[in-house]
Amino acid sequence: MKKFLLGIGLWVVLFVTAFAVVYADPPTPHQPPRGKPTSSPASNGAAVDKGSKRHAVFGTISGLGANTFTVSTKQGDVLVTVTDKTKYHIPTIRPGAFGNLAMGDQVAVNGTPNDSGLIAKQVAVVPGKPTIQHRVGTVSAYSPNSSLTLTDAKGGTATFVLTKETEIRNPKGSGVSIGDKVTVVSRREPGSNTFTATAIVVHPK
Amino acid sequence: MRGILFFVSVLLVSCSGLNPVGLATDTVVPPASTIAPSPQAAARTVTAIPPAEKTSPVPQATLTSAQALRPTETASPARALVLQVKTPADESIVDTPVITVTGTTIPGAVVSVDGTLAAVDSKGEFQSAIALEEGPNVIEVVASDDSGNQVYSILTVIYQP
Repeated sequence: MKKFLLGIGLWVVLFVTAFAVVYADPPTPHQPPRGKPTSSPASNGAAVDKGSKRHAVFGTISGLGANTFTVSTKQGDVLVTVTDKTKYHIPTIRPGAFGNLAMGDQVAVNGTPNDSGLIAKQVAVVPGKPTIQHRVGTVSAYSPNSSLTLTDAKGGTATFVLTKETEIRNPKGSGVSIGDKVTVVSRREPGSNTFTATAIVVHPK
Repeated sequence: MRGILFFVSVLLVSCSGLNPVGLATDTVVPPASTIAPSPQAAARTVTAIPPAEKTSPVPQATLTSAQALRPTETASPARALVLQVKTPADESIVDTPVITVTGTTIPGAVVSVDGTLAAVDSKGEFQSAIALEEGPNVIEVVASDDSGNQVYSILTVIYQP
């Protein structure tokens, strides 16, 4: 009788174990994170926010039409249609226009989807190199809120337009003097060779 | 009684093969996608511009330029200028009008984010808050040292409120 009860007990234990193994949740190591991200990288070249029905495309212009252009993304080609309300942000040209887009341009497009692709609300051309530049040298001429000229280590000179918004950072003083070694942060004005200084950093002597 | 014991033995053997998938998943090696480098890191572009090239459109060297650094007047060896932008991710979509650009460079470097000076601490970490316009925004992050070398990273972020 003792052996019989032992056998029944073993049987019950085995049954429960088998049940647990069969109905246990399988591991999910690649479950996507829950919650709405505040930032969603779209490294595949295109992103869709289905909730707001808005699209964004990042890629290279591979085709130009009368009022359309094709953006090649890592996910595939997307046909973008422009309207008279489409705005263009082109680094070297202001205001930008559809005619300023060129094959091979890197672009970011924001808009709304249509049957063929995307209706562009804004198009931005990504510059191949920055429009901002830093220049290091010694101040050889300075007129507050007007202009600054510096001479670099090779003897080259550069003159910058200064405005009231130009930030001056001098750890040991409040301004700029001739002879100071500085870094000038400047932006090239679209369509010209004028550089406007946005900031000047005076280096300690 | 022997019959019961025999039945239990058979049950034991059969149970060992009940759910081979469920038992094996504990030792599954993660697929390559979970251990591959992040696409954001791969998309990030950092380009060095030696001082001599600033006024002429010559080819730019990718990444940093230890060789481009000229000897300084101080006795300490020059550190290669580097720039790593941590946030935001390139080609990202955000729903807030202001974002903070963060990253690292060498201590003492001058960093600008869209032309505005960023605060750089003694470890070379920097941050700068910038306001976004609705739609695509191109963010230029430039770092330079006092020898005139500079590196940059250009990011694209779309603001969709």
